[in-house]
Amino acid sequence: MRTSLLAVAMATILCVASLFAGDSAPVILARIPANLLLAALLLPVAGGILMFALAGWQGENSRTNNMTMQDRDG
Amino acid sequence: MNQGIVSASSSASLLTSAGRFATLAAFAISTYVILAILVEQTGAPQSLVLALTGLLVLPVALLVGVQTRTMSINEWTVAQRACSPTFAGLAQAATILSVCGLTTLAGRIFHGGGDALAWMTGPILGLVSGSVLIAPYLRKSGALSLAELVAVRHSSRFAGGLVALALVTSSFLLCWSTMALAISQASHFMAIPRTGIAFAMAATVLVCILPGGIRGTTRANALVYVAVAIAFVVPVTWLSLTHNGWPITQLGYGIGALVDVADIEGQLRSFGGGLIGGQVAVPGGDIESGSMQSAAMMLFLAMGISATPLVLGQAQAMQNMQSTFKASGYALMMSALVISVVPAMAAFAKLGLYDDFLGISFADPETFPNWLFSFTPLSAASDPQTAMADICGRQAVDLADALAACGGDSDKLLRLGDFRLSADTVTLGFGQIFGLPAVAGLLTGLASVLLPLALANTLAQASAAVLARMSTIASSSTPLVATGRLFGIRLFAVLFVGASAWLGGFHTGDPAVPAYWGFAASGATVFPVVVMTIWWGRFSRLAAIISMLTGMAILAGFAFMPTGISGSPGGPFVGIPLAAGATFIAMIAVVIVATAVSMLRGREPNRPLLDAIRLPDTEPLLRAPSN
Repeated sequence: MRTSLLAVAMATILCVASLFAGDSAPVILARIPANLLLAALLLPVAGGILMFALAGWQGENSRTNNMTMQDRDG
Repeated sequence: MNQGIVSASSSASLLTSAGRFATLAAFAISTYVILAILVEQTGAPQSLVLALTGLLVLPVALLVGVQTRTMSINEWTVAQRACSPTFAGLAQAATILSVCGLTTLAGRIFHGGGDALAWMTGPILGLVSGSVLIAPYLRKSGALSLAELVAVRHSSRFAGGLVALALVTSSFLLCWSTMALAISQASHFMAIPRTGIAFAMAATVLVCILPGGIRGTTRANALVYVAVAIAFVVPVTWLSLTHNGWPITQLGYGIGALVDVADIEGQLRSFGGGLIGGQVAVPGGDIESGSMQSAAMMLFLAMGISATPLVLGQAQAMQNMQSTFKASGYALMMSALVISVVPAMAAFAKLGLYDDFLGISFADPETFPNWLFSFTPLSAASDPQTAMADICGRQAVDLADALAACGGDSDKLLRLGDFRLSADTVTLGFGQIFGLPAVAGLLTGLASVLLPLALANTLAQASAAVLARMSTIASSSTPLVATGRLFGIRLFAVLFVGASAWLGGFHTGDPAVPAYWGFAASGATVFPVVVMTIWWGRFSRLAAIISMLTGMAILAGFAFMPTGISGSPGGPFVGIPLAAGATFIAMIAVVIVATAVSMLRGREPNRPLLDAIRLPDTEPLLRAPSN
């Protein structure tokens, strides 16, 4: 739960940052189109959220597929 | 054996509490920074702080190695499947930041080429695709490497051997490139012969990975991430606070600095006369943003790292699939935290350079930006053809030489167009541009050396692990004793790192070339074959073998064509490296051949394995080494 809250907080910060994309340094300095910059910022955030969501889904749906002790002396 | 178990259990608690480890590391580094600033305040020469820093790295690496030492092959290869996802995420973030070329990224943005976007997003995209398509299923299968997964899925040692060959070749090329970078970057800070530096870099990697394997790699790389995050985030945050009154650089990217930059540039343009010009030289950095070349470069980097140990290195050591996803989530968040600071770094660097250069004349050595003359060697590590600093077309050596190059009129004011810096210089000189304490520059310098070393750690350990399992498969009838196998693996790692350091230190023209071909070897052959192995039940053994051979033949053809080995943009592909173009052609051929052969031949899947990795609630089939 704590992890999820941390992830959401960081994701929110980066999403808000992406709102500034139109006037930001990469657009002015690197002449990178704002929509691409938006994608560049949102990609890791969206990817991270996807990973945590998949982790949660795995935790709820898989009970016996996770090797731990059995694997050590296999 | 007992020693290994005792060592493993004593360090297991630390390895599972990454938060405590990261906090301790951050505290230690911050304490060091404060001490270094105090030493600087006493008037001691900077070389003293520099020497102290250099001397710290090897003992810390040695400490990590001693703490994680083991004689268990299970511990060495999979850390008893007990690695914390947070820890793995930190280590993975360090390798991703290294692939992004963090040391040159600010310079690329400053330069304004479309390649900046490709290098920012390509590796992130690769991490996402590898984490979604491959990593969890590799972990769930229980296989030690992709080579073992393919070998078992197709019941073919030959198919697995081909994947192992491609993986080890790719890792070796990347390690060669990364060692070349580490050695060249370190030579800016260590005043000893290059042979000594190459030896020190190889020793630093080996003392981390030889005793503890994946546990040592993970712990050392997590430490590298903390050091890099402090080195990049703290100075930029400080500048953002003092210039904009707002400490979170990710919000706004130094917009205050950019307003000032825009004002200055507007005035200079109105004067005309070539007062302003391109100030940063980036190899291959003239790609238009949003162009096909920029997108192709991004895709090439993404495909190139998806199936490499950079993304999959820690997957085998995770407790379960859930932890694998979590580790990737942490890695993405941690990478974003640092990467999103870099544009602000570029903005502040631009403002700082304008402040340093404008209104200054050669006649006043006190105000002249003398830090331009502080770089030795004079060429950049990431591109040896480019000078770290170039004044009026000549490498910056000293004030008299620069004055002579610019016409000899000492009363003439400096023009921005007279200066040309390498992409490395923007990052390595960041502290000096703003007159920050020397330790700030020292930390970014340290980060520029540690990041390639983190990559080398991962690549060498993962390649040895590939060999560990393939030797088990090959000798299943007469298995070697565990200690013998562990000795063989460690010997392989020594040869791998030693050869990389030797080639990187003494036989590398451009470090980007082996890296591009390393990405190509993985992206064109391993990535499509592994994805089809996991996701397509009809994909047959024969298809896997023929498609792999096809991909390898195409890559070899391009690599050894007369202009191929230069790897420079040009040849049949305009604006992108030859290796990238070859990757796209080889990958398309691999997919076509694999599809055609699989459709023509009947099904022959290892159904139990496919079920085991793709369906929930099933037992894995493959086990880690038992001792």
